[in-house]
Amino acid sequence: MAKLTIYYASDIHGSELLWRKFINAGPFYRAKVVIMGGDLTGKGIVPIVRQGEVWRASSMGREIAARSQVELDELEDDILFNGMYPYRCTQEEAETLGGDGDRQDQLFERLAAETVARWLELADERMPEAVKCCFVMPGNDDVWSIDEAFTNGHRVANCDQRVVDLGEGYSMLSLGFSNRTPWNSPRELSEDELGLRIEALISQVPDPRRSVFNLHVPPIDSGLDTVVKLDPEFKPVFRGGQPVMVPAGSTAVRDAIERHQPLLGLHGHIHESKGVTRIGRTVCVNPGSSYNSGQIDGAVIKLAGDKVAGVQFTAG
Amino acid sequence: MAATTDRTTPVPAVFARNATGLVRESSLLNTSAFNILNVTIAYAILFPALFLWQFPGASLLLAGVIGVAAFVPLGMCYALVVAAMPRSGADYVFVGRVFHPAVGFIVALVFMVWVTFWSGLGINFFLTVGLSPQMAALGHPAAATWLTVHSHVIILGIIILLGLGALTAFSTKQAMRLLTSIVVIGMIGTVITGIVLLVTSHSSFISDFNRYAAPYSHSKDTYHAVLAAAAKAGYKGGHPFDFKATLGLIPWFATSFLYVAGQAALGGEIKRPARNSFMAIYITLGSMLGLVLLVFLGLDSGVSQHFVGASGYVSSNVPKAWPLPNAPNYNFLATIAVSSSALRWIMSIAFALWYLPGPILNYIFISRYMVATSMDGVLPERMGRVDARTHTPLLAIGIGLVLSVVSLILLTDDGTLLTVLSAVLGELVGGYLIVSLACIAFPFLGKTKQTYRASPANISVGGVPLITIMGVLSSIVLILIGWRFWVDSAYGLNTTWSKITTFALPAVAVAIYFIRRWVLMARGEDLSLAFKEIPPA
Repeated sequence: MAKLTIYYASDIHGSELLWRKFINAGPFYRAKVVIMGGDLTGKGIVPIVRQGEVWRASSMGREIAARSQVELDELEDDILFNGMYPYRCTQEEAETLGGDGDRQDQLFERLAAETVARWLELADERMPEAVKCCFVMPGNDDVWSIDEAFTNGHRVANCDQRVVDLGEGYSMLSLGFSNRTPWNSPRELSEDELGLRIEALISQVPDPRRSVFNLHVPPIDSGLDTVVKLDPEFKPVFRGGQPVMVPAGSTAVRDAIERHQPLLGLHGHIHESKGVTRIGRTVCVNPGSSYNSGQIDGAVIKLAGDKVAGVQFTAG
Repeated sequence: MAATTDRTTPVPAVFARNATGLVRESSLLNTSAFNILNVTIAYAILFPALFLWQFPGASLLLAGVIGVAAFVPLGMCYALVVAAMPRSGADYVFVGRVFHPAVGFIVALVFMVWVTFWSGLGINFFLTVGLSPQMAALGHPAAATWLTVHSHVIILGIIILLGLGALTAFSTKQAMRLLTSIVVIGMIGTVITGIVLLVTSHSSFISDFNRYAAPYSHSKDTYHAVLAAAAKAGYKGGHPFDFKATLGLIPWFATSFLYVAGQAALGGEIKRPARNSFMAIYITLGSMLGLVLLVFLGLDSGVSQHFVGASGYVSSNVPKAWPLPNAPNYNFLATIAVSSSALRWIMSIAFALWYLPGPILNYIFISRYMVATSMDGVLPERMGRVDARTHTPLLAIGIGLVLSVVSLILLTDDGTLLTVLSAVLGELVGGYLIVSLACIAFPFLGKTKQTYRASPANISVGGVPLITIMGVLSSIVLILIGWRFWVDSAYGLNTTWSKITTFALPAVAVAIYFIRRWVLMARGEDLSLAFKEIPPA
């Protein structure tokens, strides 16, 4: 009987520590296939400006000063730990950037692309041979500038909008786009468009019943997509002292899973909705994400024949 | 050459993207309201007043101030934990990361078991402490007596527990709406009670009390008869102020304020300073202190501390000399002093309702821990499985319901008012003290040092991490309270049963963890992988 162990994680949002853990996750969990389900890039840039002999940055609501190279390295490490990109600059440059949203975006795209390129080289150097396949998919939050980094032939393959062979008779289709969000992120589609793209990928899958649907956005109303409702200013909505919780997943994803009943659904996107559920015969998994806690939330999934033999959530 | 700037030049802010999940902080009002929902303030007023007689010379007012302030460090600990690990999934995960997953499971199991204790207790209190005395105060003694018959309490209690369990299972939203309504009504009722007591003159209370008690005592001056009975039995009323005795009342406040940390569930997407979280703790405790002091001031001026103590003493120790059908809780005494029937009903219903939120909160509480521990594999997966239709963990709620019914039956048939504190001691030692100790260690351990350093919880006072300071203060408070419970029979907690369960439950938790690990290992699964840290490449 065919057997395969997969390690899946998602939404590391620029945390280099988590990427480095992901590189080593395969043999750690005895998984031959490791998959990163999207949203690799950080959430912002922290300018570190030189003021005299001291480097200063504003982070986590307080001002931090680095008075030596060691402290500066530690500061940048902590910024990366929280999924942000440190950027050393002069006061003047920081002030110019502060007033120019387009320049901020350009800088962000450059830093994100450089970071992903560095990560891929790191994986080339350090990923254990025991890992047979490593697939990474940009998610809805990821800027387009990072895609080019994957074209140079690495151990890590970009599986977005492709059908790939996992081995042992299993295949996987992947789509990093999400449905519409209030943040107008780089890779969003309407539900209709999402549905069309998923169907186009399904048509390439040899056997949907032995396939994995690696879809960044979870199916709607699955318990894997519950978020706090927000008002137009992105503040949580409360009723009677309680936050209002609503589903934010995709109807197109749900339709596709209900119709084609793959073996397994892998999802991210909603960090706080860690869980596993069944839609018909399909086991759907969202390992959640606490990317700025230093631990990588993942799932070790064992496939055996036509069944999902086990799902173990991990915090590595 | 790099330009230099003077030190007053502001440091540029973070350029944050408009990224998914970038959520603004909940308002202070919402965070505070969320906290307040978790604090059943009625217990913190009920117990110190009812057992004032145990500590002659104690000042209710001073005890209230100290008692509330004592829990600020614990609240701050939780606020800092949320700032450091916003998606931590509460104390279970935090403690598991700092110490060991088995220790994290101790916290989870302790809370899961003892909250069901509170559920059974809450329903028992709703009927016997809430409704029954108020029925007597409203002039329905037969109903008051009926509500205290053991079999009636158990049957009615099971029906209520089933109803609240079903509501939580099939519509958590409606359950939370009910909870909020109850808390709002309860708070309004408590304010009314406090004001009634404040505006009632002492002489007026005496005549109201005597008028109410006459049919029971067949005496025209039951008030002074009670005082005389108390003195004859050895009660030292009118004792001069005694600070040590005042401190003796503090442990009673743990029955409410141990649970001040509800905001642990509100962690956000991007870590941010804990300012709102800190302020929410102060607002929560401050507003609760206001309610406590309002009622205590009212009791002092309207009823007199002497009579509060004496009536409590007589009803507990010389029951034959206590003519009324119910113990003299603060609301009962206030209701007697009110002539308006409508106001009496409002005060009575509000007071009784205070004991109902417990089961709702506790079903949600137990579900949260069961889902978290089953996702990690410590408990079997089906215990935390979420139903696809209701989106709730039905089995977890069902287990909570069964345990609540068991605790209701045990408490009704065999318990005393003091048995409640077994839960407090258990949670204090096995839960909150461990969390406080984890807060002390968090900034210093190799595996959590960077998480602390890179987080908004990285605040130092005099070079010492604030979370460590709060952990130390909280630990001291909890150890002192625990020690008082352990050595002083006034709290009824230093029974063999209480002591055994306080430490047996953590031991059971550790055993469950390692047995489960062994069982999974036999099946080729490694439980430790759920928690083991991957070495970074």
